Amino acid sequence: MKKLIYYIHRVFSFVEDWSLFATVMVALSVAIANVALRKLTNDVNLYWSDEVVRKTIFFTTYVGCIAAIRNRSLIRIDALPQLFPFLKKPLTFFSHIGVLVFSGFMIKLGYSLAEMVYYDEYAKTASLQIPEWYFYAVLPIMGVMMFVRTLIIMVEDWFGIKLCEPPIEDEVA
Amino acid sequence: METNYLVIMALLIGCLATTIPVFMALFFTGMVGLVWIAGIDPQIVIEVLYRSMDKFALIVVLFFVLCGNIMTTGSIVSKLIKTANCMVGFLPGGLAMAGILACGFFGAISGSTVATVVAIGGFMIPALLENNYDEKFSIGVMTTAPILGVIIPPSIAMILYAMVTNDPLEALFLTGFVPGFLIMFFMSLYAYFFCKRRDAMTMPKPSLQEVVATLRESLWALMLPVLIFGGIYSGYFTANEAAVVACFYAFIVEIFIHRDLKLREIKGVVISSAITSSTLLVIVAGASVFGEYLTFEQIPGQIANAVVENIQSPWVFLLSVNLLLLIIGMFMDIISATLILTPIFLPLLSRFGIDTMHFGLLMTLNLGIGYCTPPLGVSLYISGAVADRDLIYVSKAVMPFLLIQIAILMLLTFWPDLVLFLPHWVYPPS
Repeated sequence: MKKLIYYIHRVFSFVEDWSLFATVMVALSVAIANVALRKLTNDVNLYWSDEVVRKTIFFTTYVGCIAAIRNRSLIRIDALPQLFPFLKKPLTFFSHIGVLVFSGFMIKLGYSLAEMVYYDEYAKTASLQIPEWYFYAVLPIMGVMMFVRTLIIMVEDWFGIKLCEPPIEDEVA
Repeated sequence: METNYLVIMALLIGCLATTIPVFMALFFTGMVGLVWIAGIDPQIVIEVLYRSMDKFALIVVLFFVLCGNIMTTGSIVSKLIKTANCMVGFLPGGLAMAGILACGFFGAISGSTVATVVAIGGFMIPALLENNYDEKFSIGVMTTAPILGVIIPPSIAMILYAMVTNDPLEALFLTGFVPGFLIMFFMSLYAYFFCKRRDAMTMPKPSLQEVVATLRESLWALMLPVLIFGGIYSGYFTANEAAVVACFYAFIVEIFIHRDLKLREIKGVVISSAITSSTLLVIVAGASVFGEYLTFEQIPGQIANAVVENIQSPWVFLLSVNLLLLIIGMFMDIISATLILTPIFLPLLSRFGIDTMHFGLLMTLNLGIGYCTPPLGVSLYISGAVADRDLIYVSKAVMPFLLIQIAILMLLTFWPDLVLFLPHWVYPPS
């Protein structure tokens, strides 16, 4: 079981890290190329660059959120656990439940919205004519990945164990 | 209707208090308001979540965060500190002044207080202690000076404030220079007299050759703020373009000129920047859902009416808001507070005739001070960990510097021209 969770973590981390890296680098390259062309030539301009950057921001924000759950770096107000340390464990548990509920919303509502856009043949981006449902589909996918990630860190926090570290072979055997 | 408002407020405070991530707390509250109270289709709420991120202006946040991370991973911090030390290190309290100046330099590249505390404080507190500076003084100065990270542009809090108020970002950035300079000047003045009274150790005055050598070494790093602000205020770049160019410049300088950023480190820097920016931007998405509910129920307008009925003077209003924001700043991070509170305060500003840019600066400064205000300011904990001191010790250490910053806040509150003359001079109001 521990081995399976570890592999899920590895696959998720691979997807999160590489997709974030690739999209940010694409956005930076496109944006800098557009600025350079606009400033150096005065009349040449990548008309689709704004769209690429906007979609990249959307993508990195929501995929970055899943990675932020992994790193436990989502911004929260931890005044109560700081003032009353004994509340830390129950509040963390409650907070994880909140994330699971949010993931549920994303899966259900995000899926139905993506499905609706999928059937709309005119729902395409303005410049590059990319079907919009590609981007809407990020929401339910984010929901599923958030849900799994949160379950893993819930178990880690509650039992004080590390599931995202390579399992020791003897232990697995 | 009032019961509904109370339910919504209790839900928001309850979610925030129980450590649910801020953006989810805003989402849940907005969702309950829009779907269960106002009867709106939940899919529209998800559509709001989607549309809120489909904005080109958000690029500024991602790329300024990335630029700060590139510089922190490379050698910029040590170069900035070296330059600052060369400029003021020979004066009484010179090393502390160098720390303050370095926070100012770093603030002109990064847009965050926490990044500045970690980058400069983590380096300077041990350096001050090694040079026999008073421990309490050293911790105090390096816990509070990083506020310059959010005051001196580019400031991420100001970027998000401008998105809510539709103020021109380039002009809003200009409001931060005078307050940033005042904070640097008065904190340095305090450091000077504090150390002179104690006959603290000073460094020898650098020779002209040493100054030239240090400036030459730091030239590429010091050119970055020149590129950002020179580009923006000469009209050559927009703020969005400046963020992109700054990022590209930072990559080139750190990889090919300083050679302190290895190619294998780039992936890590980019990913950590994307995650940091996503934790900030996703609050924009949550705040959009919450803001949709506020707009739907016209709550800001109702609050404005209630406030105007009870408070007539804009000065009393500003004083009350300062107090409120200082308290909120102790509990809530600057981005969340800016995104939650700005739409509520916005209608009040026009009623009292307060300039939105003046208010934006006051809000940022207030919430920035909150970062180092006991008992919950984040900077206190970071400095405490660096110096291995408890919260009470750090809280006492920051007091003189907090008083200086609050005095400057009051000055800026009641003298709006001090904040506004620069933006009005560069961009004359029509």
